[in-house]
Amino acid sequence: MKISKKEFENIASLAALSFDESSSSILKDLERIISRFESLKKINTDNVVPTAHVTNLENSLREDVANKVLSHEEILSNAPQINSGQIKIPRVFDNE
Amino acid sequence: MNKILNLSTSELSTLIKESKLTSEELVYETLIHIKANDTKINSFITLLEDSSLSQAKEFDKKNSDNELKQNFLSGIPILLKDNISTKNIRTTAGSKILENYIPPYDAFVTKKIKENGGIIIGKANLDEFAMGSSNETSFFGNVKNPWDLTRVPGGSSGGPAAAVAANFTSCSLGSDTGGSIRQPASLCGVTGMKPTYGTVSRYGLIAFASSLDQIGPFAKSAKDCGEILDIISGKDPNDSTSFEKKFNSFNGLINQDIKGKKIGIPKEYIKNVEPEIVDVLMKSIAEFENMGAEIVDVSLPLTEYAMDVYYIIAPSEASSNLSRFDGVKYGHRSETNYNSKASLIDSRSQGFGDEVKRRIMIGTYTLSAGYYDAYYKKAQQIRTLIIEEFRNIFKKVDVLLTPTSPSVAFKINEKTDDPIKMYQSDLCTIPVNIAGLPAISFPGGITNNMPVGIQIIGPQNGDQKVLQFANKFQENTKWHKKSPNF
Repeated sequence: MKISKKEFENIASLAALSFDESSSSILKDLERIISRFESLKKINTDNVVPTAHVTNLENSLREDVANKVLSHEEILSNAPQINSGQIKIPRVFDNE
Repeated sequence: MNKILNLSTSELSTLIKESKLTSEELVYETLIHIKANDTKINSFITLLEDSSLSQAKEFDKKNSDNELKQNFLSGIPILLKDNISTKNIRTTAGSKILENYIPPYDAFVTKKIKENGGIIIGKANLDEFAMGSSNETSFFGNVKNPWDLTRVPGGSSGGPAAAVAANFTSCSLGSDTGGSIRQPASLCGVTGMKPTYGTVSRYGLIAFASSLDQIGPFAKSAKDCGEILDIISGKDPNDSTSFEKKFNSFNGLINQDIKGKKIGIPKEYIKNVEPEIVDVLMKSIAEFENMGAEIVDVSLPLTEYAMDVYYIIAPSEASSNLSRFDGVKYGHRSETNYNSKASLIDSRSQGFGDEVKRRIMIGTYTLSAGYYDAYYKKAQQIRTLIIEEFRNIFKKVDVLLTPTSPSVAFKINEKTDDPIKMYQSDLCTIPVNIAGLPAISFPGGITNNMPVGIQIIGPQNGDQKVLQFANKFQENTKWHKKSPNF
């Protein structure tokens, strides 16, 4: 199974990952692993319902009641940067 | 090492109940042993010295005032895999991306352990995000096998397994997505159980593959695993896949005889296994026959496809689950601060190790446009067929007996260059997760001074049966009593 450089870059972009010197070995691993999946074509799965879940649970519901879970401070406690009680993030839009 | 550290959780629990041992003495001796010897094993990421000692003292005081209801874990040190959230205690999942993450809440199981008087002695090393079979992908360094320090302990719960083998604790909790409790239990010579999917809430377990992940215990006997499952199982509104307890006690059947019960031996599980492992399995079969069980040869032809099905489903779920690590609300954020997209990519690329990236890439590929039907949907259809195949077999037999791992613990670095070889370490454990079944690994013998685990697989919600068979084996053999000299 061949994966083109362009396709590899597209997958990396979707995964929000970048690879520098390790990219050729990751690409090679990916090709080897995906090639293995070809064997699954041997199995006839016509009209087989795909598994969505292994438990036989249905409609696991609860009352719609508001619950106090974590405080504002607790939620912010792990944020890399905070400003005035809010999470500070890098700029989303460029200047232009 | 103080001799009490050789004891099982049940034995320690009895001594504490009878006031022959205080929790403080036990925790004190435990800490001395860990501090002197874990430098060789590296099974702890975090050791909770102060809090465990103060909790033990508090427990002893309340206990002497008769203020407490005694539980199985009362006053007993227990170790949690470091992908299980602990309030105000760092939880890393073995990753750089969570190196400084301190959860503001407890996982369901953490809460249950605390409510039942267990003393959390530390957080155990693991493969990064539980992705690995050798504990070599941890950002915090690899764990060594107490039976031979040049070998791996298995993975991904290498820390929890090695710690019980080294007598650092009598029990611990791990998580199992494709064998991550049972394979290290086998390689380290301890007992480890993955219950039926849905038995234990996954709330607060850092997600890897949500439809496969399940928390379970390591201990020195099957019976102790059952006791711990009684404590950590049950319906949790925070995990809609969890269900109400199906029985009063996981150990409810252990006093019943297995005479005349049927044990299936699936031939596909022996195919790619080293001869010395088959040898141990054969001796275990003879042992079960002596106990009066009937041995039946069975076949599960889809077994050979299980690994490929797993390596589509698990990375697909992982690629989705791990998209939450974006360096915004928590976790590592790169210094690249000029725009959010660059920051996102850099934070993730710096924070994740190679194996995690590899699996995110596989999962992103198999879920991407044009491939979804060929891979993910196809895998979920074969999953349906695998579930049916197991269901039909369990109409004929009570449980299945198989090897846990195709080999004994392998050498450090032996398989790190070849991911497929590494993935094959879980050949005998993966099908169980795909079908959501209960299974236990327990010591079945020793070959070349290394322990060999065997696996009992039960039908869905047949956890009691699994424990019954494993317990009967342990009543008649001594393999689970063996400890390494390290």
